[in-house]
Amino acid sequence: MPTNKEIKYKVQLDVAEYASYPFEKLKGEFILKDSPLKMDNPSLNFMTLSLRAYVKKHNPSQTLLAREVKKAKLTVKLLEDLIIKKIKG
Amino acid sequence: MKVVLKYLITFVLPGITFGQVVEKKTTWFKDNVSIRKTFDGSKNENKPATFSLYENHKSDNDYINADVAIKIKEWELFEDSGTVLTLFPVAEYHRSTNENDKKDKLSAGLNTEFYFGSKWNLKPYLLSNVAFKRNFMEGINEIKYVGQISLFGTKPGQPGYKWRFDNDGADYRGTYYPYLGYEYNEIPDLVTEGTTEIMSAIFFRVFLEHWFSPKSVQVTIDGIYRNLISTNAIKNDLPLINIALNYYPGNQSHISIGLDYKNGYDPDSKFTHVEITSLNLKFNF
Repeated sequence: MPTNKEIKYKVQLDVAEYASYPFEKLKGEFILKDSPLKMDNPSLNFMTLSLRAYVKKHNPSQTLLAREVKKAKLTVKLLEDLIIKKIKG
Repeated sequence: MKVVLKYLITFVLPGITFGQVVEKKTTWFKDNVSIRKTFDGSKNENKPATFSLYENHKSDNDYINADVAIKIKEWELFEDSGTVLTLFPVAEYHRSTNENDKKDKLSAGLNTEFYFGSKWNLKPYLLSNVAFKRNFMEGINEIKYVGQISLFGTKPGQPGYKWRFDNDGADYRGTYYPYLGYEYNEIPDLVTEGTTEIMSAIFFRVFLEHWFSPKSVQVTIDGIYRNLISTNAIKNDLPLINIALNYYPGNQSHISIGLDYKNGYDPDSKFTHVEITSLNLKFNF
C-alpha cells in the first residue's frame, strides 16, 4: 500500500505529464481546467485512465471516473485527496 | 437577544441556505452544462457560441448570424475498464439573415467520445455525432453523421502536447490536433431543386490554437479537406479554412471579441464556395 506522500507524487507526476506542465512549477491550488494548466478533454480522459489503473492496482474494488476528474473546479490538491480516499478509503 | 435571533431566522439563515443552493446550482451548471458554437464531434476544440456581423466580400450582402449549442449531461460507460466511453445529448440553434443563405435550424443529436490505448505512445480517441435537424426556413428535416479519429501524446511535437510561455507561471500557449474522419449528410436541394440528396465524404482536418499573450490574444486555425465519396455533380475536393483572432478582455476566459476569416466550401452554406470576414461576440461556458 503506497503512503499518502507516494500517492500525491504519482498524481503530480500524471498532472505534469498530461498537462505538459513543468513538474517543479506545479502547485496544489492549480485548477486542472483553468490557466495555467488548461487541461482539455483528451488530457483529462487519458489521465483518468492512468490514475484509474493506479487506483485499481492498490484497491481493485474502487475505480476513478472521467466525470470526477473533469469537474469544473477540481484542483491538483483535490485530485490528490480523491485518489488517496479511493485507495485507502 | 430575541431581536437578534428573529433577525437571524428571518434574514440571515434563509440567505445562507439560498446562497448554498445558488452555489450548488452554479457548480452543477459548470460541471454539467457547456455552451459552444457547435458540438459537431470535435468538442475538445474551443469553439465559443457566436453572435456575428458578417461582411461578405463577394456581394453587398452583410448580415447577422447566431450559432449556439448546448450540452447538458454526460453519461459514462465501462467505468471499470481501461477505456472511457462518454455519451451526451446536444441541442443546437443556427440562424442567419444572409440573403443568399438564410438559415433557421434547430437540431438535436447524440455525441460519443471513446478513449482507449492509454499505454501507447500516441493514444487514439474516437468522436462521433449524429444529429437530426429541423430546417424551419424550408420546412424540412435533415440528417447528419460525423465520425472521426484523432491522436493524443505527451511528448513535444505530438498532437495534444501543450506548448507554453517561458515565464514563471508557464502559462498555456497552444496545442494542435489532427483528425481523420467520415461524414454523411442528407441535404435537400443540394444539387437538384426539390430532392434530398446524400453527400458523404472522407476528410482530413487540423485544428491549431495559439495564444500570443497569456489569457488575452488567441488565434485559432481550423483547416479541413473533404473528398467526396457520394457521386453527385458538385466538386469532389472541398477544402475549407477558418482563421479566428480573438481578444479576451479582462482576466476571464468566457467572453471574447473575435475577427473570423473563412474561405472554402462551407457545409453551413450547402458546400458552396464562400469567402467571409466576420466580427463576432463569442462566449463559452
